[in-house]
Amino acid sequence: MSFGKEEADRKVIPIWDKSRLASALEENSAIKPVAHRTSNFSESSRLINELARSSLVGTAVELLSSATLENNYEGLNVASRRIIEDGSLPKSVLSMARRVLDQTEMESPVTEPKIRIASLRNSLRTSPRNTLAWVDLAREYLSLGQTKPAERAMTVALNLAPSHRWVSRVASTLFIHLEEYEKSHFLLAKHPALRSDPWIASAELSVAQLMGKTSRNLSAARRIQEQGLHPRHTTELASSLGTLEIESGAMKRGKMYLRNSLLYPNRNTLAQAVWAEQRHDIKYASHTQVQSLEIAYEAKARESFIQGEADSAISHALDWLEAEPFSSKPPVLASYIASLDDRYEQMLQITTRGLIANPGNSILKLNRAYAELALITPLQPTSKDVAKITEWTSLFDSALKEGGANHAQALANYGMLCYRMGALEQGRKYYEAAEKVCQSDSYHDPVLCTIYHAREAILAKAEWASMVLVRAQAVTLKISDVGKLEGTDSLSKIIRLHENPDGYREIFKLPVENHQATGEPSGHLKFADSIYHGLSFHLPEGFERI
Amino acid sequence: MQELTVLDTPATRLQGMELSDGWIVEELIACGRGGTHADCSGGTYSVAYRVRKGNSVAFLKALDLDSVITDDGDDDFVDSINRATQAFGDERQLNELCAKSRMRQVVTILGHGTVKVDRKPEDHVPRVAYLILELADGGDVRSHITQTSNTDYAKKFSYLKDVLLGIGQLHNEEISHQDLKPSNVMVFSQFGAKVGDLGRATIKGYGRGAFEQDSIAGDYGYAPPEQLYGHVPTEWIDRRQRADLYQFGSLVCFLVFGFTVNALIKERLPAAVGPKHWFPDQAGGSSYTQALPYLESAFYEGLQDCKMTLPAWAADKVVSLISQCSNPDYSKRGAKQLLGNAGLGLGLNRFISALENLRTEAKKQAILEGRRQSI
Repeated sequence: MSFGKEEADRKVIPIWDKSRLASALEENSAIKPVAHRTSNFSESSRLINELARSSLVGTAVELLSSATLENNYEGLNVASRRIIEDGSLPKSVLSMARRVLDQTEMESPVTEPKIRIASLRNSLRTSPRNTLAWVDLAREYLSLGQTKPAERAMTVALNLAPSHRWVSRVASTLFIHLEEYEKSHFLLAKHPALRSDPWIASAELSVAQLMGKTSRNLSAARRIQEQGLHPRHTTELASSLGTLEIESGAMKRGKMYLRNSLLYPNRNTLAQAVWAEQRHDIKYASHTQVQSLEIAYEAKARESFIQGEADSAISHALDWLEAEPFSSKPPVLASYIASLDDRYEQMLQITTRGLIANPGNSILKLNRAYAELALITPLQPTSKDVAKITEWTSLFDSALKEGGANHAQALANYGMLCYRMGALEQGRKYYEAAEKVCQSDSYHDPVLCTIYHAREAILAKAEWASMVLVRAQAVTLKISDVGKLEGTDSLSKIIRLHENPDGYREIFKLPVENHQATGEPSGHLKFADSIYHGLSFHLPEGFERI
Repeated sequence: MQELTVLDTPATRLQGMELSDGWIVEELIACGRGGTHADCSGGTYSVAYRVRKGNSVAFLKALDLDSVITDDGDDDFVDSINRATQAFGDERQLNELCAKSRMRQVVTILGHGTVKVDRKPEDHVPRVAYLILELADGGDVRSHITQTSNTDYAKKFSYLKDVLLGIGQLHNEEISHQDLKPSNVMVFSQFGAKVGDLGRATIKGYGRGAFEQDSIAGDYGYAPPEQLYGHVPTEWIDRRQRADLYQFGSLVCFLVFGFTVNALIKERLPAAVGPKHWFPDQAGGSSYTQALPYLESAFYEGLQDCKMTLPAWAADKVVSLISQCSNPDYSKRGAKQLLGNAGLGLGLNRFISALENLRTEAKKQAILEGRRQSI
């Protein structure tokens, strides 16, 4: 079980909200002050007087528009009453007048994604040049994991508004989600405002970082940062530059940029600051700043996680998932924290939800499998559990074949499966292999992996259980920067388990036992037999017992 | 019903006078912006009367210079007088030019001059300059908003076609109206609708015009979005003629749906990206370029919502007409077939044809409606 190395990394990639919500964000405001034209002259007051003199319904109709624009409530009411009274007018204006008098809101938003898609498609049939509807449609498709239609919709939006800042930024986010990094970078790198707009420069820099390359616009980005623009416009650019400097080892400069990014932070830069604190032990984001921004769900989730508060961390991560339903990061974080707090049913719900938008996400699949395995009574699997073995092994095998970041988790999951099914020796082999991979990749996970190994060995009453527990204690003590939930909290549960192995359901918050076992004696299962008879496993090269 | 309250100035004391060209001043109709209201945008100060010569009835527009002088607004005093007199002079010249060019769908000037008024101690200028224009027997187009049958549609499309012909006539002489709104469209039983009030109009290349330098010359309620955001397109056609087209689309919207395009957009626009004039406390931070997709989205959504209230035979054509005329993106205003071809103009003739088709269809539907009712 892990958070995943890729997921644990973070760049200041633009956040993609629904267009209406995004309208209020700083990235949709002008970088330099704009001289809006206003007038103190009240046309609606003049029309109220005119209507009082003439009582002509045509004047009332004009007053309704005028009062709408000037927020003149008296005018709205006077006009609406006259319009309703007359009645012989176009239906649109009659319903507008009724809305004014009834104080009824316009249609409330639909919550079902498929209905929203149908409605957007319907609207685009009559207004195909509505850029925002295409962007929102792309987002809805992506939330359902329909990547091709999402890409097509976004391509249309980009053609309609190729230079629009927000459209370009969220399009780059989409292409990152689709792992089309070159495309994401290209549209930002070729943006006409790349050298003048801090929002575009920031996104370009972050995508380049994500791709592991140095941006050609780095000098220009630094110049923009030094232009003295309002910090609300440079917060993401400062954060991107800070991340770049920190990762290249220039900690002092990096800290300076991160400090600047927090002069007027948004939720993206707050989350980045909390991430930097978590990852690089740089403490800048203040608790008050994080808490005062209502929509800073990610930062709040990460902060609660650092502080070892599982409840609020999961709750904020779920809010984050609501806000970015297409992203794999919120369900990965939420399911990870849920696993640390032994909330296996909730893990299943979260991963199932996350897999809708990200059906190929290996971490979510492995996390779901972990939750399913955790719900098996050790050494007493039900027939339903046994029936799922092939599904699990094929998932773990494919993760092992892929190699990469999920290798350790697949091995650990294999180990857990073996222990729960009664193949104790094989379980031990897998867990030890997982521990070794974790160590070589400098994860935090050797701690968690060893703790979980100890848990499984104790639950399976393996004779080496005490030995693994001692190792887990040693690793936890040795690695100081591991989180509270992952380190001491998890270890203390295992110690309690070791002292009272029969109380495991209470310790791991499991429901009261109510299952139908396969009927075979524990430690002698078909699956265990098949392991002994020489199934092939993808153990890492140079694997040795540690 | 309230009485019209007016200030006592020489311009408001013309009733009963006989002018040099034989016109007799009758009832005071309106006080424009020279009455109890001072137009802070620096507009024309005028008083309107009905005048008669024999059987002919006309409309007199008198410059209320005393109201300009006594206005205690923040504007520079000399500038205000200069602007008011220049605007009145420009309007007279433009009206004469229109009459000379025989613009049938623009209200015709019948005469002009000055009249001396008995001086009162508080008067500043005892002479009043005036214009005499055709008086519409059908009032302005707001009186024709009623919608009870297809005959109403036929009448509305006919008026709209007339207005567009008028705008085309002005544009052909490189005049931009800049203040097209329902109260400036006059309905004549004999000639259909005519475009009136050239008080805010400007001529291409005539940089000294009273309103040439204003990004919003006319009524703020009808101003296209680019003007409200302070965005000034460099080309005349974009800056002035496409703004006229926006206001024409708004007029279509007003007659067919009962509200202006600006009201339609504002109802659906997130306040944060809106122009400050519409959302004084919440907006002002966004630019025209940045807000444009939001403006377009609100515009399209609004049209779609309203479309269903129209009869099927008219819905698509009317929505298409408004979306081509009043697109919040000024570069997308004009006949869609001609967009991108700068030299081909706005394609007003195509809109005139579309309106004529709609008028014919409405008449046909009205006949069918009549037959159905008689069965």
